Amino acid sequence: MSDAKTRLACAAILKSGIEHIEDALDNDSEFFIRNNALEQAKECLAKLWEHRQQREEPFVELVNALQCVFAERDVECFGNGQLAALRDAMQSMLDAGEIDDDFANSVSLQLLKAGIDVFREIE
Amino acid sequence: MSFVRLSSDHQPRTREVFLDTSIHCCRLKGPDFLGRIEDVLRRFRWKGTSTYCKVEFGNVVLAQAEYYLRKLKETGSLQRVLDFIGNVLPHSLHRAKVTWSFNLLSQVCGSDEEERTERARLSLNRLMKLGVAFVEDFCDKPLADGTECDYARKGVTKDSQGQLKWRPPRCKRNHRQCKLDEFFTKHRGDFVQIRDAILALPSEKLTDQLKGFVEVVDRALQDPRVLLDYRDGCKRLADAIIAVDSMGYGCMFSQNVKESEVLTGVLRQDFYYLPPNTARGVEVIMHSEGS
Repeated sequence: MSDAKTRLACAAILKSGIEHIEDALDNDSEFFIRNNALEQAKECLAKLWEHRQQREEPFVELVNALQCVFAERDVECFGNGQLAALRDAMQSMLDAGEIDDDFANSVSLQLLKAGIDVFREIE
Repeated sequence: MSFVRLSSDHQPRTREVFLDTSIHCCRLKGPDFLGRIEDVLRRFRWKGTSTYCKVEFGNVVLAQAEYYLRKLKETGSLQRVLDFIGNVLPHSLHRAKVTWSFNLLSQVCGSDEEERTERARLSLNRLMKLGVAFVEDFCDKPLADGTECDYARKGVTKDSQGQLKWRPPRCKRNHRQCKLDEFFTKHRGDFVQIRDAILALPSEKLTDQLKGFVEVVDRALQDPRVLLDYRDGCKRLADAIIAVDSMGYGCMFSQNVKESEVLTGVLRQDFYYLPPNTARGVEVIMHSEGS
């Protein structure tokens, strides 16, 4: 069980990450704005990763999976459908607060159904 | 009948497609496969699979994930695990462990060895926890469940130390855990047709697996309970069991090219296939149009 301070910090970071992905979705024809928004979203995930010692393992597994999806990717590789799926996954994590294995499974399956391989970085 | 490249305006003859285990496994083989799988599936409204595919997925993928997790725990280092797989493990005896290390381990990122090891462990744990839901939840339900295999229901389990384990079936005929014998009896005519089609093949098209089908079907015709022995029965007939479980579907999607070519021919299914050379796109044999 993570402490309330950590959960609140993670929630704020998740919220910020979601907003950045929404910015990217709203600016799909503006390469630089979209690219910048996704870079910010990646930074949010990196900040979540820093909280891994204080968070439950299923939460950390999902953060790891999302980071792997984003890792070393060019912005043009992401379609809007994939971005929307990533945003929805982060929103689910935000709404859930504490995350267990069943919840992490359902988020993983959501992403897999959207064509995002969460077990392997997209090349 | 022969393969033709799938055109962008291709319309399948039915709106339902059946996924063989090999397609579920290919979903973990990177974007070249994933993109083509999506290209096929977007043409269908319903994707089915067999509960038996869950067992095969466990044997092919989850068993490797469990092995890699064990090695990570032993060595404490992703690099040492990769070194062991690459340089120590006899590749001819452990092909699956080598192949799947490229898909499940070599893509792991991280700023240093400790982080890469941690990320690899997290990613493999996530896969193990998801377990056979990776197969089940991807497809529309209900799944075909002709064999009512007990191992397909069990999935990944935890041992007394809390380690996630994939236990491959160890079934014996004196401890019946499925209805495969009844399934065979019910579809006896279909299995005989498969056997006869294999026997009619020219020798260059016969694979060891196809020869194995004939041998196991012949034994099962005498006594269907032989199939309840996992290693000598059920396992050797796996692709044919899944094929018969797919009856009623007009389209099959599989990577077992030589076996599925025969099986879909017998069952008059159109056969979708992803050649290893990605430049060839997606290929299909339209058995429904054959004579």
